[in-house]
Amino acid sequence: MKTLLPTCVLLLATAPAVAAGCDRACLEKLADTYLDAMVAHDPARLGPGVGARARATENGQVMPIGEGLWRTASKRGAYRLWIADPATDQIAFVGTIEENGTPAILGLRVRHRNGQVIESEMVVGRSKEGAERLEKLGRPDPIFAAPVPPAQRRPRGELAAIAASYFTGMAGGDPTKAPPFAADCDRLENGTRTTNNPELAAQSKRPYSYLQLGCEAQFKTGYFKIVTAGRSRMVVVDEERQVVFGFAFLDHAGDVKQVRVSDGRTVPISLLAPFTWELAELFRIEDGRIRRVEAVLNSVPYKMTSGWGDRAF
Amino acid sequence: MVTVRTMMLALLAAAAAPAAAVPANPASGVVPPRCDRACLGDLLDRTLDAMAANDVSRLPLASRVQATENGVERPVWDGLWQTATGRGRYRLSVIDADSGQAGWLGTMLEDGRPVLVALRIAVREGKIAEIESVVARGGTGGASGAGPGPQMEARGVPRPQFSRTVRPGDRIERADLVRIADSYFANLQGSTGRSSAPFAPTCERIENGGQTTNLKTVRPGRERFDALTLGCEAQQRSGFYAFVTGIRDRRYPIVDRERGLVLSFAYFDHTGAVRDLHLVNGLTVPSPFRAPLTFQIAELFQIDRGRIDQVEAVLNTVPYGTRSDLWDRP
Repeated sequence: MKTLLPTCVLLLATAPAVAAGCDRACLEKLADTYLDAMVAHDPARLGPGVGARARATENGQVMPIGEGLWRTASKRGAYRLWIADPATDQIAFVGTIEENGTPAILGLRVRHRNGQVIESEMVVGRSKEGAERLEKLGRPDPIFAAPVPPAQRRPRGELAAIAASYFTGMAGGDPTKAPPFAADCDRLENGTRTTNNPELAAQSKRPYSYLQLGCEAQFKTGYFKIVTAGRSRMVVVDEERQVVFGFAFLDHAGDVKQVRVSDGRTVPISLLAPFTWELAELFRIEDGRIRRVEAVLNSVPYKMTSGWGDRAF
Repeated sequence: MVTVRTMMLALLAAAAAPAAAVPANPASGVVPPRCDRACLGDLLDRTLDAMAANDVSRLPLASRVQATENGVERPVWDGLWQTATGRGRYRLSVIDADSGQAGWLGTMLEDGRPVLVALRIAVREGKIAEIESVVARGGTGGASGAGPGPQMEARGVPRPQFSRTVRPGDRIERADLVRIADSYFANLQGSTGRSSAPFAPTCERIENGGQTTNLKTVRPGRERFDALTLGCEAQQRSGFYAFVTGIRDRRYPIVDRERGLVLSFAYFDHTGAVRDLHLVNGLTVPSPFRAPLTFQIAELFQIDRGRIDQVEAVLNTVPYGTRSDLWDRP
């Protein structure tokens, strides 16, 4: 594959057409071109007619490439996390971007055919503070980019199933359905560490907080009973790095008035209104266990769908 | 959706059929019983009671009911129907017997707290076939910053103009009422300030519980120009609203000729790409929105002698480009 790379890059530089077998570097170049074109507000850089032909969504809404964030993105950020999946001609990106000077977080999936973008799916988290936190971090946790030796890799189907079990295990809050987590698992949500974070837990004004706990312990509390249903799609798998990127919606019907958590307390739920989280989320999996989680999320109308055929749970 | 045309066809069929005749041929169909003003008002009330009781089984529902909350299709019993804990005080009805539909703006209690709701029901053959709601739970609620629900609950009663009966001879044709309401959106989107919808000088607007016309106090940070200190027409003639780049999927399903009301549903798009607003008064001020943003809106217009008088809206911020799952699909 390495020998193909210079040709691939050259083709992308001149015209957005690449030979079959676009590898990691080729995919990253493709996404780079995509993001540069976006910041330049110039979908034509993707090739003639590509922007109009591709199926594209932003925050679950269908719109041509060139609309939405394509009209407001003003600068690429420093925080960039890539998930390359040559087997399915896809690349995903989680990182920062400025929108008319205001930082935002972007979760992006791009699929190409022969180097032409045919699908673009974005979740734009317009959380200025969250984006600033990521920029302050400067770069993603290096664990996400560390290759896993071939002998230790799990097949893509198994990886996707583990990632999907994060969402299905969350809905309903059944502690026995917690997904497999590594002991040192941590999670970033919109730039905030929402695991093993006692400082954040102390700031919480709610009667109960799980933020001081680790990934598995959070699921074992049973508190996620407040998540009543959802939909997900685990679509991009970086087999070399054992990272899965997907999209999900977590519905909160607002009808769970209290939860009996694992320490025996009965905790009143403070927000009894229907709402849904829309997420772009990635998972680093080692030895069949989730070790790192990172998400871009938005509050959206209750029970919203993405239009990409999510699986309901 | 029940269209005026469908209803008109039904009425024509009713007129054509001999009064006491029983159709010998089943293919000639059963004439749907007309749900008049009182019938629609009653069904509206029962719908709200059922919602407050979290009990959809109390309602005469059509075999196939279509329902959305904030544009998302879902079973009738879901959403606010599971979380409502009672009815609020603020209640404003809009009845359209010609289309067999009724609308409502008002407060419901959710987990004991008021939320602002716009509701539409469509009735076919005496049964509720469509339930559309826009529920505003948060949002800035105009200038004061309190939530939409608490503000409207505190207000308690609608402005009297909304319940004024127009004398039969003065009633405006349905198409004209719709045209006048639509001119509000047509003049607002991409506004240049060179034209305006027809407004009465007494026009006032309340959006999500907050007054957004003729404010007596300039809001902090808007000392150079605060559009909300202007009246309805002056706002549209100011050139300020150029940042509203499109108002799409406009619908006017409920027209209450007796009261001169039109209840509309629409989406306000703001691309975020408009940077400067060049006002008619010569000033240039920055656009308030610099990122893509869409408002889902239910807006009620009270039209007096051909002019928009009182305006009231329920709105939510939704993902940019959002369309309703059901009502706006081709």
